[in-house]
Amino acid sequence: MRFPAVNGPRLGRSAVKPRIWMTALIAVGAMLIIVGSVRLASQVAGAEPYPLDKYPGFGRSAAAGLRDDTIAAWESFRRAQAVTACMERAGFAYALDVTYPSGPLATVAKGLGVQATGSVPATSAEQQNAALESSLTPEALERFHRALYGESAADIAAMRETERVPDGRAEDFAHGGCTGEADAAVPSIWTLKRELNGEVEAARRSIAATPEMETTATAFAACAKRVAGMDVQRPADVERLVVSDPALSDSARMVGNDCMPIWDAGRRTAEVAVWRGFEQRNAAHLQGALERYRDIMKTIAADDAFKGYLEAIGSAGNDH
Amino acid sequence: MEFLIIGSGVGFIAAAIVLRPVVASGRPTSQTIAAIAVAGAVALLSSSVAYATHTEVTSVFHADAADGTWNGYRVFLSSPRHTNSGDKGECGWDENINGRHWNYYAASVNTGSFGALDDRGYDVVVSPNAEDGNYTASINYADSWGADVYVVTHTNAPGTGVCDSPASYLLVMHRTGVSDSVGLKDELLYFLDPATPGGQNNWNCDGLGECLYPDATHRAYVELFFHTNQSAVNWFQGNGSEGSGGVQESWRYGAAVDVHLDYP
Repeated sequence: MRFPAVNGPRLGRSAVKPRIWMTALIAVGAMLIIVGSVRLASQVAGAEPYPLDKYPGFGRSAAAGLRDDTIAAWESFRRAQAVTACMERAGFAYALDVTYPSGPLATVAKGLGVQATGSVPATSAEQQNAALESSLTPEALERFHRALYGESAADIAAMRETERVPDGRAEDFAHGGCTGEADAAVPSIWTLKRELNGEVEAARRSIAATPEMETTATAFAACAKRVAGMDVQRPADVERLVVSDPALSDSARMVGNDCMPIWDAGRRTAEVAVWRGFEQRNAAHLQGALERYRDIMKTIAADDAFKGYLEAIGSAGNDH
Repeated sequence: MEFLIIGSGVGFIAAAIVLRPVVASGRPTSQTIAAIAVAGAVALLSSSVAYATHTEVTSVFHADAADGTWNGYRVFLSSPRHTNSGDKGECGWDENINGRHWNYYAASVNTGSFGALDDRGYDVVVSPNAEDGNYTASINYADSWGADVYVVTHTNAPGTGVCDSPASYLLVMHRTGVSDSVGLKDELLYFLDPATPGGQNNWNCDGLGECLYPDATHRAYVELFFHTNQSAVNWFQGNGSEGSGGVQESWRYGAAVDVHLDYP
């Protein structure tokens, strides 16, 4: 036995304190395991499916969010392919520039079981295309921007320097050329959500007025009063109070720790009810999305070019 | 978070078991070193404050909410991409650094107040701050990713653009006619103004590409402070110490977004 006997000869008075510390370590460890397990169990037990999860573009759970990310990244890849092909027809060796953030893209790769090969190029596609641009003669640069955006080189240069779009061009600037063609050829998973934005926002705002949230606000207020003596109705009241009186920070933290779980649980119940109503009101649109993306994940999983791209960029992502 | 708590608990018990023979013998052993390493790793994992040096040109940064805590919202924080950053009269860091630095903290660093955006359940992407003027790329990234919230963070300068200018105020801009943009602007002003130098201003940003084109309707454009004003720069930099100064107030972005969306 490697462990010496508990009542060995060195166990005198001096060993008592360390043993107390060991007991304390075990007690703290056990307490943390229990707290974590209870929190986890309460999350799982209270988890009611989000009604819109099944519709691509409306994912609310982590799993549905990953599905949406996968589709969105694949669509970005296909748009980038279209732009590169279009620019090639215009006479430019434009690098495949997938405009999707690297972090989420790495998560998509992991979700598809793609392993990085480590063959990350020294420069990103964005940097390669910038180098191409800077190597062009003024005449070629004009053709380049006309081909890519349908705009003059002067207008593009002015926007990059001033952030301003040319007068009178607010709605359509730089949305033509190969970029416009690719956008039209590969619609976005987010299109329906954007088209229904007015309804989405109205539904979101209505959550606060549901009976569930009224009950939740009452419980939240009672909790805040009990743990910190604060007279508030909602989390927003707490943070607003801190802005006007920073001395209330500690009280606000106590309310945050003890009372936000009440808010989150109530919010989830209210949210599910509101999105069910949204689903019924927009059934035809949502069914359309479901049809459009039927079997999409199989298509993506079978797209070797996309998976090859993900393998090549690996965990480094598409930007440096 | 739950797995972190459980893991920490396991770490404590493991440390106690490994330390048991040392306590009995009174001598340090290789197990002691292992136990210290385990405890150190647990402490590091448990730390919610992770300061990092972001005072240089950097790439896309992604901070996602802990497992099981995502609130369904995607936030894109756009950094400046001025081609002439560093030549805009900055008394301190380059403007591209200022915006990126603040965004990084607002996205992911719990400064001990009320949590960064990722602590609050948001999935956050921070744009690069390359000196390429390629704001179109930032918009494309945000739109492709399906960003619901788009906030631009720059720092300001008067027309002359030289250090040292007395001008000093917070400016938050919105898209005319977009109620979600106006609402977010109001909350950003409410939370930022008490902390930022000078007074406050607001108007529309209708002529700017990053105000016009992002698909996210919850969008705003912030000029956080005047980088041409030495005292404002001093506030932001906190005497140059990493993690101190104005960035300690970066939780206010999270608070503003949370209040605007009613704590989703």
